[in-house]
Amino acid sequence: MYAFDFHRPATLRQANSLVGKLGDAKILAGGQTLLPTMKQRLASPSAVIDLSGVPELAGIEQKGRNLVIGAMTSHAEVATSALVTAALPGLAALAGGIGDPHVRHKGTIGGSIANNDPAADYPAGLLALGATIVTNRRKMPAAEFFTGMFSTALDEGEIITKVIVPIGAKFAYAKFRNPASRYAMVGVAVGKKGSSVVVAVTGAGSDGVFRWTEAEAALGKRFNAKSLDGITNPAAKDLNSDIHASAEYRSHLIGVMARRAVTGATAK
Amino acid sequence: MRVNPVGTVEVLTGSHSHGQGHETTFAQLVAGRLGIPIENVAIVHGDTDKVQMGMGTYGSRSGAVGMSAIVKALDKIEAKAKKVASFVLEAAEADIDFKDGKFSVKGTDKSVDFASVALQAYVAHKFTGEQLEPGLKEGAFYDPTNFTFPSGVHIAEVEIDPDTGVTTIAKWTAVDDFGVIINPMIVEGQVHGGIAQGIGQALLEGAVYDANGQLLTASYMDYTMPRADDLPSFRVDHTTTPCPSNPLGIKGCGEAGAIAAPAAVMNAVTDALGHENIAMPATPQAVWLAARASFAKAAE
Amino acid sequence: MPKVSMTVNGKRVSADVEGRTLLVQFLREHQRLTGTHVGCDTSQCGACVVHVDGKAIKACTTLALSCEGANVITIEGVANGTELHPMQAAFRTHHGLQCGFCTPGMIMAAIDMVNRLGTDLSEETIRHELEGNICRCTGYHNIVKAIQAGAAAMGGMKVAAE
Repeated sequence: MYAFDFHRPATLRQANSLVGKLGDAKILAGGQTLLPTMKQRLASPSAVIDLSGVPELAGIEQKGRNLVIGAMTSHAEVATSALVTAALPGLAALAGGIGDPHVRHKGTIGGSIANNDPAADYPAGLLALGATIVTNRRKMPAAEFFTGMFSTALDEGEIITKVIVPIGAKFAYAKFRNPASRYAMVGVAVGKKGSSVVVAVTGAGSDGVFRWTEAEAALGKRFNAKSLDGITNPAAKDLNSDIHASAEYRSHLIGVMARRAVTGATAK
Repeated sequence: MRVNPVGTVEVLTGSHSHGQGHETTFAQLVAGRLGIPIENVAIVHGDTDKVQMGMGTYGSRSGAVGMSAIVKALDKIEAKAKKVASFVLEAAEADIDFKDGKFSVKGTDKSVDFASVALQAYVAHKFTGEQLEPGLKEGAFYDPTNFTFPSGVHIAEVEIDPDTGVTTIAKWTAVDDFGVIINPMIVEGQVHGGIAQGIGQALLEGAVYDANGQLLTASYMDYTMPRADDLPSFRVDHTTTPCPSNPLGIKGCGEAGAIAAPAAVMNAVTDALGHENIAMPATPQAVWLAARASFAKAAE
Repeated sequence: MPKVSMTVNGKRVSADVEGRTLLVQFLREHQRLTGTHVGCDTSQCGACVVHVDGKAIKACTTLALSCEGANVITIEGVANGTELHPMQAAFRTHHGLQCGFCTPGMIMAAIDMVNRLGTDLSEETIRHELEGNICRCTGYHNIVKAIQAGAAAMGGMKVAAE
């Protein structure tokens, strides 16, 4: 890791003023992706602003028909939260399947979505749930927030403060793990609210998380795994290929995981 | 093998231990033979300042070869100690018995323990230098007369998810013959680790290079190390047919699991697939492709 | 250089560190607590697991300065004097280690597992929960047995203390 100046603000206000002042700064949330990236010298910010000392950014509460999850809330907290487990068990399960127990103690929802790793779990989940991302400057729907592989709509100096997740959806996430890294090789999140169905795919797309609209249309008619029979899987040409899985295999797995997610969302 | 005047023993061995438990097994052998507590035996290895020569641990040889050398040294220690005991007990050497850590004179109740004999070996009050060289310290080298031939059967029961190609080890049963076993817990531990490594080789682990020779599997992000949830618990047992080519009747055990497991896994996988057109590692993708070929054949 | 202070195994410690100093470096190099190991250094193997404010984390993927004021427990801090922690004792009894490299992380992960999930752990739970800890020697068989027994012993300990 290259040297950097370390800052640990105690309030969001201090954090705001630091990101304004420091040009080439990286925001450190749980650090479970940023630190490995910096250790490999794939990132070398001149300053790091650690948000772990800002208590107002963490915590989960229910406000009306929404769960409000602080950006610095850890995956472990989301996975074991009584509120999340009761309102959106599929989201708790998604969080409980990220990384391993130790990573889940550190990694945060804000850090995960700000990085928008193409193999991360939250982007697909939040897209399928129609979540809203709140920053220190504005609110935006998840669909506008995730703009491509490792890229988001966040501007320079913008800090995610919370994520608003509407409850009442039928939701599940099914993941096929990369056997080595255990990241999603293919992850499919399915959310149904009223007549609207969103099928979001992570791990497979060459440009990050994407929606599988053909499946959404079919599931919109009848929300059952069988509705996906006869639907053509996303084309291999738009999918990742690597030493673990060809694009063809990923395309196939999207269909399998989507069926499992639908089955999971309808079970109860 | 250095017997100290208080009866403790220090064994300097060229067989290096990096987790195979030599400190335990070797000490067990020495303590059992000399009838002294295991805490009184120290196994020294891996320190070139103390151990003159060693070639490490490989080829499942530390038991069969390393311990055979210890047996030879023990033979010499016992022979010398009997001489010392014969002076202490004032009896003919031929009349000295050694059992359970005690030297005794046949047909009498006269006896002396190992530690007392060790002390007498050094202080030399009961014999002269002309009668016997003082001290109790011996060395031995051992060159095996033949290889050892462990044998066994490992049974892998696997389940394949045809939708994803994921292979799960449902059950593992292994029976090996390692000849005489000094410490069953350690031997079973060796077998467990070997099986895991063999399953890894069969299903998970592979070093992949690109066209330029760059290693693509250079970290655990890409190299699939077996994890706890990739494996079942193993049912492991043994039969005992003593090896004829070393004094303890020991056969090698370290590699058995890693030798048997890849074959057992791949036989199970090809049995499930109905054809043998698949190479190791049988990753989910490889199995899925091979299963598709099976379905296509079945549909013909 | 900035200064960091924290409690490690019940003792207040502090040192001047760089921003990039990892918690595991702070423990091993500044505090000479070399029981915590660095295995893969890519956040996969779990040899570096310690407890920070009661939760198991990977010390190779945590900055020392992020732990300002924290309460850190390492493998050196779990025994009661010369008496092994029940989880350590179980690893010894059940031959849950061979080379021992992964053991500190395994034991810290196992104690955390019990803290979160209780003392009656199924084999399936233990195997799943060990996702972040890699062992090359044991095939996990005896580690799983040791954790099951260690967890039960921790339960007995709690009952005895009540």
